[in-house]
Amino acid sequence: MSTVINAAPSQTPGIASAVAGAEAWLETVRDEDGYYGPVVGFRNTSMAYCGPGFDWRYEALLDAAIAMHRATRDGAYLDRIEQDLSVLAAAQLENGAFRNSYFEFNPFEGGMPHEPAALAAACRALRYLKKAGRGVPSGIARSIEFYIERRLLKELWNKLLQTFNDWETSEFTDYAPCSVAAAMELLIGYAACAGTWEKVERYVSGAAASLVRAQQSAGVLDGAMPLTHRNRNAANVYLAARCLPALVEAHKRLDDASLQQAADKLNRFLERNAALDGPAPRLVFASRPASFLPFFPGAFAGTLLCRLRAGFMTQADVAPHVARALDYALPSGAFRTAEGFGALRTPKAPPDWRDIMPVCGWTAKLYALLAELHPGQRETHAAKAVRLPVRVRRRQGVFIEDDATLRIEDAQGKPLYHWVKKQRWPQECAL
Amino acid sequence: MERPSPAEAFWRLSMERRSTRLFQETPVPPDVIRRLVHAAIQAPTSCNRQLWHFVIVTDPAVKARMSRLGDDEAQSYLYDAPAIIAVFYDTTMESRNPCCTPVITAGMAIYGLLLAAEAEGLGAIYLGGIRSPRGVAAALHAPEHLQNFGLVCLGYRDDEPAVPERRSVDEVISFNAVGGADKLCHPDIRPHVWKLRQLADFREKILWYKGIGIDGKTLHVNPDPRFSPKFRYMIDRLGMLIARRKKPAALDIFSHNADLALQLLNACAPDIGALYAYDLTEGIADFMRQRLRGIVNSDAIAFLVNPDDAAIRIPLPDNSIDVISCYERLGHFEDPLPLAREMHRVLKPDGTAMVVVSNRFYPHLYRYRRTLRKNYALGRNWDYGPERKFEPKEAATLFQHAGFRIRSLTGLEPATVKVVSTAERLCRKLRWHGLGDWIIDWRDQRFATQSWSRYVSKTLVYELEKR
Repeated sequence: MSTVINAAPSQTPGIASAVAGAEAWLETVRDEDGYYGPVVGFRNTSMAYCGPGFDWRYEALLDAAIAMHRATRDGAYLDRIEQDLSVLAAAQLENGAFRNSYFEFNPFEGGMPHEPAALAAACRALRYLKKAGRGVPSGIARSIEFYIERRLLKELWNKLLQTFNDWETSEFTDYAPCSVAAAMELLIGYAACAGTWEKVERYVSGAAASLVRAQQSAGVLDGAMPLTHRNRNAANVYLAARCLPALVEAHKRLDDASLQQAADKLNRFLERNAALDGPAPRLVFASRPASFLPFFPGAFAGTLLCRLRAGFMTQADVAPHVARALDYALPSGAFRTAEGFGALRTPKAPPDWRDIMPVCGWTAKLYALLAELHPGQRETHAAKAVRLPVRVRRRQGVFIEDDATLRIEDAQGKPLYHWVKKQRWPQECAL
Repeated sequence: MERPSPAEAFWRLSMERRSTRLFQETPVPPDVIRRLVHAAIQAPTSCNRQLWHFVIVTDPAVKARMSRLGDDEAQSYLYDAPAIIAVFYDTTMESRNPCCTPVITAGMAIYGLLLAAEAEGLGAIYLGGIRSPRGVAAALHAPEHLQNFGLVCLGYRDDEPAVPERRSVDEVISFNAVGGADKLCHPDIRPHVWKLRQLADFREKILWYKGIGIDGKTLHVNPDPRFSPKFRYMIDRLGMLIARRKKPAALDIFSHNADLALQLLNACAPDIGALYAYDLTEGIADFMRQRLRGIVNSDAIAFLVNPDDAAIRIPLPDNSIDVISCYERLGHFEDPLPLAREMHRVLKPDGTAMVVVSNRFYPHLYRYRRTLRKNYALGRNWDYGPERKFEPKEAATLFQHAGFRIRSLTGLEPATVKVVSTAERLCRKLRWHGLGDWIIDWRDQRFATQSWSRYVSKTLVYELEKR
């Protein structure tokens, strides 16, 4: 990275080039024990802990590697899958949960829906490796089984509600549909790998019924999955989309028409609220206007991936949306995290630092989406350093990134944030 | 096989009975439940009135209604247990009895139930943490004169409950007059007015009451304290302090539940040279050891115990620790100076101590809320209890006397956050949602502050170094 440029949003590289860029950037934050970096999320920012995270970034990374191998037939992607799976397995704790799996709340273990989402992708990866003639890494297979036995069924299964709890967002008499859906996907994926459908059927059936119970059926939220079963006034579009593949898979397994109907209804809600070329709210409320900002392109890519996986969209349907996604690419190869943090800013003001801060989990989601559309011809990416004006609270600042470091400085050049890549903690964190 | 004598059978039953919190789904046969109730009603009653009534609840919908109206939705065993026995007693005749005979009678019947359950090979737990027994009564359509005295959860055991150590008979007995009870009993609910021995005893007993290994299932009883923003701030700062040094020795002082030690291992195990957790008794250290064993490699932590009840003494040499953390624990001492001096003694000359205390200049509303609700109890969540709060000047003087220099003082959750939250709610009412969003964003970015508002923050975080 020698040339320093000012990135302009209109520079839109092609898909193959953007994929190459994302891969190059991900390499700058990857070490032997995982993918590093700070996290800017919906509800929180984790800027101090920059060590490896074992959250839904692995879902996107594994799915992307599968898609890339399918497109290019390059065996290096299978090697990458094997490597990522063994790193993920090594992060498991003795109670079945995974270290640092809470994404924006890292470093904490037991993240939902992160853990089951990552392991459901691991199941898909295991099946793909087997199909590709590779041996199945035993570590991750044991790890998935242990997670299901020890954590999912023993600690998170709620006998009263016949569904899965998510302690962080719900009380015992409540549940978060997106977490339930991730757990269902994992159980169905595990059953497909291990051939043990009988063992998980009643859990999948109970959890699927709880999703149907939670689904909204009137007004602007018609078809939506609420944030939690009891908090029925709001739906996060990105998290609601996570329920789509779970409903469709459960319908295939259980042959229950109500599940397909629920999926259709949910898809219609997503169609109304998740068009990249139109309005794409993050939160939809029953009794007040939808909240559009900040817009997370990575999360939006996740929505499209869910609809792709559930069969409600084809790659051809997704393709027209991609141009806008590419607008968020930074010259470093990563993607901007968001647009519109710090609402009510004047149009001419520079973006908030949280909009620019590249995050492994969000970049991986866009990488996975683009990988689905990859033409097969690989390109190389000449990564460039990034220097962009940003707002830090109400003041001017500069965002600077190169291969080795990521910095935010104030107008006088004083570092407000300084992270040396692949280090667990930043040198400076005054954000 | 030889049958045990009645005395042997009684002793075995008494010694082996444990509270069960994880149950299998297998239903309890009705005739077994009838036998348990038969045992319960053999208990003595005042004036032979026998005015008790037992309601067996097996229907999940009734359980849910009972838990909702009883204001006790957070207890997992209420749902997991295949059968619940709600114990009622008619208190009309004895409502003014000075020895609370209806309560005692119900208690004796409940103990009979628990022993009978043990004898039948079942697991059981008496649930006395119900906030509204009246709600339970209403949920079960009980008439006005029948008072609920709690619930017994019943089922086949799915756990191996830990065995909390019982006090010795000598500790709890005296002849002809009360003697020695003040050693462990508490004359006041405020921990900082207790003697060191009372504090140590309370900490140890409260940690053990739920046993080990069910944390994942029951964390929801209280919000996981590790998710509080101030805990996360502490971990972030400690992680950065540790990362700046080469394989430092870190010491955590009085980590409740070993949470801080657990997080440090999760987040910075490769960076730490040695990690110590210091607490008051061997029982507490044993609890932390056993709890962590089910989650992480607990061998990575050295547990240190205060040598005796007489005074605070950290069993480490002088100048041996690089980073010290003490999270909301100074407030447990009327005179925290000895603890601060010990921290100073073991800290290396270039080390850092991070001490978190509650600020007296903050309106801690929970006090008033709990006073209004009149159901205050110093339970497992005693972090939010009535322990001592510090004025910033008072804390500064304390650290100065202990030999520290304050490198930085950060306020967490300033009172301004509360004010702007009110403004945000007003914006929502006026449908100014854009402004409301902006206020939320402003608020979230100012949780930790080093401006003037730190003096009116809920929590004060001191980073200290040796003078």
